[in-house]
Amino acid sequence: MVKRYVLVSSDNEKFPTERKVMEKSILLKNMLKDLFADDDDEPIEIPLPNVSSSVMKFILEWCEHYKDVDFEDDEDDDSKKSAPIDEWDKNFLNTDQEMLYEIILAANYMNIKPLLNAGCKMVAEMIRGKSPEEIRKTFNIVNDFTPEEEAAIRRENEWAEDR
Amino acid sequence: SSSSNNSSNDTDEQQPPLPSPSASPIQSQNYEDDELLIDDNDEENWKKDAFLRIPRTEKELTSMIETLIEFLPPDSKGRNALTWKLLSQTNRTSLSILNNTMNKSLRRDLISNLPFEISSKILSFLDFKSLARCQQVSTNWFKIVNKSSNIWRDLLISDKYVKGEDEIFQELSQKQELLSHWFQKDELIQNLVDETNNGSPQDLLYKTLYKKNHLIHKRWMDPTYQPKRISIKAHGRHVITCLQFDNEKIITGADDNVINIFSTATGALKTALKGHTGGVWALKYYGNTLVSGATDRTVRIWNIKQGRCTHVFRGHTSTVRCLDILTPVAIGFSSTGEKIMFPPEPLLITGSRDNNIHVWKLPIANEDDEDNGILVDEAETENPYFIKALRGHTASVRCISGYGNIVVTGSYDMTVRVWDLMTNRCKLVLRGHADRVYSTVLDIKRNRCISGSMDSTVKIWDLETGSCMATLDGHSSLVGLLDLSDTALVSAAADSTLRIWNPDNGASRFQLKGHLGAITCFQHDDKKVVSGSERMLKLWNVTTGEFVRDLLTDVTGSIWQVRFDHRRCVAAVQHRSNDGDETVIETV
Repeated sequence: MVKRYVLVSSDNEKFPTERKVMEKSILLKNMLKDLFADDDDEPIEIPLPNVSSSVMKFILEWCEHYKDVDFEDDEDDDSKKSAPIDEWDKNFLNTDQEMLYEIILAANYMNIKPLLNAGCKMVAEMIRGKSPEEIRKTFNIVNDFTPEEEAAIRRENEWAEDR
Repeated sequence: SSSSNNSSNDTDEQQPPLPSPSASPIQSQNYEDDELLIDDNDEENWKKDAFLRIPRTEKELTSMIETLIEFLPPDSKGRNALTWKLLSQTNRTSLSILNNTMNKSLRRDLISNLPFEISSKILSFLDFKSLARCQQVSTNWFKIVNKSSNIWRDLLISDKYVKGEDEIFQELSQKQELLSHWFQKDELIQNLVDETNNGSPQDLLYKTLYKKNHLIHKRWMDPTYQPKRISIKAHGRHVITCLQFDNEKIITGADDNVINIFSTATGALKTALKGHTGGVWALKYYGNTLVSGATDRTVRIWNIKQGRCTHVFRGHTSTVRCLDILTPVAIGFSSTGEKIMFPPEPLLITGSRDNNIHVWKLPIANEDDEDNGILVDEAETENPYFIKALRGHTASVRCISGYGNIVVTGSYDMTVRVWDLMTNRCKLVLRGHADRVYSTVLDIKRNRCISGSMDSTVKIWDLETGSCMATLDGHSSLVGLLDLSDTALVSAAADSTLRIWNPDNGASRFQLKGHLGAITCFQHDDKKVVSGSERMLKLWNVTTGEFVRDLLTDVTGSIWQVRFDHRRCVAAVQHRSNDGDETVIETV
């Protein structure tokens, strides 16, 4: 397969990529639709100024892994919502929060829904079942409620806790 | 960004402060990779100085390198290379400490930092309990959870507290009442909320509605909860054969020929509708219009508010045993993409012991109709409301369920028939039961119908082909009652058990054992089952099949009928003490 397309990251690194892999990104897929292939085999450069090379590596690895998988369009139905994260995705996204943050942003920007969903689920899993204090620790958050406010919200949300 | 350094960490002193996670490459574009362009003369001189001085101690060397590093722009290749170089010569213990510190400093407040749509998406994967806790993390999280009102709306639906958007809309029509009852008035929270969304209370509404439904459900499922109870004596010692209720009224029909209308809140008898000359065996209301069928072979239409009979429909030659009202629904799309609604106006379908089914236009009784005192009572041939008699069953018609243009009837002739009201023809005859059919339900979503029979089986039929897709065995006698919700099919039998089935494939899920006699009545939704038999009214958990509690513990006779909505359970109960019957109304 001739890699005619070259993705260019924000820091100017070049990533020759096959079309099939790129099309996991709806942004790129739509972009490619509008590109008319010329006869000469000049590679086409596509700049992605919002994605750095380190993140691009991650994203392309993901796209490569799923290049033969067709994702259905109806992402938002209930069964998918409650479905657990794919094991491979889970390992893949098991990185530090900074990278996870960058991947989610890039997946959103490049419109790669399944990756965005997996990323969001990863973050949701970091929250699920934790106490507010544990959540603060996990995400390095400063509690900026006044003690009175905190108590008031706790009272209002008492119903959601088990007796 | 609210990321902060872990000042408490004792490794900090030995290591250069790590870059803040939110640091962005501010300068990188100003520099070329390989040359440093530093204009400032002072710095240039200072650098020269630094190079000229030969470090003599380790401390001096370190300090010099530290100084020099400043000249490498952050994010530059040079700086990265240097970092790698240093790291590759660091021992494992230091690396481990470093690793720990790095991981901590790379933590960031993902929810606050990500764009709102994404944060909202993340939160949508959480359950109500986690969401409630998220609100307590920080003011920012509180705001984000509040702004994501669609999450609570979706949860209401996916947790089966409401059936759909319509029901939410309806519940939200009384906003003030909802908030004053279920939202704790607290100035601090009010201020926080106001700050969030400039006074739009929409978000609060969905969450409060969820809270309300959750708490009510918790009460249902709490065996120690003592609900308020209202008992009303009614219909003397006669059998109550049918019952329907809402927040305003409870309507009962009995074999004493009378239909009673009670106030739901107080239990007071509002109206007694008299006119039938035989026992009432079927009733249903739609808005202000009540329809009843009786052993006197007539169907009567009543104006509920005015408490009077407006029409008598004659034509059936035996007891009217069952009826259904069909309201206009979208049954498909035309070629131009518009919804096809059917029926064009509400229809009444009645089934009788005379083997026939009659289709009528339903006369709508409005509250403010002029009370002209006229009772329209005409023979079938002249009745302008009469549309068609559906003939085919060869024995008594026992049950009717309809939707759109489809009507399904079960009969003592052992068949189920499917009728198409577009053509008023019988579309399918479903044969397979070995005895009388007592109950039918329509499963429009899956295009099926389900029937229960005296032969102790339940059958699932395909409405397209008419083939029997599954026969559900298990009951050991008459399956007289069936009910279907989104996620569960429940059957009740004379063998004193109820069974819960998977409506997708008919697989048996649970058997509910505990009653001591034939099940006389039941209802269920996606959370619970309420069932009645001789001396017992029981509540079960539909998802686990577990017995929850007895709703009434002092019943001495039969439970004739039971209905519930999300707040109340209403049962028609026979009290056998001094041979007087009572209707007991329980409010939860």
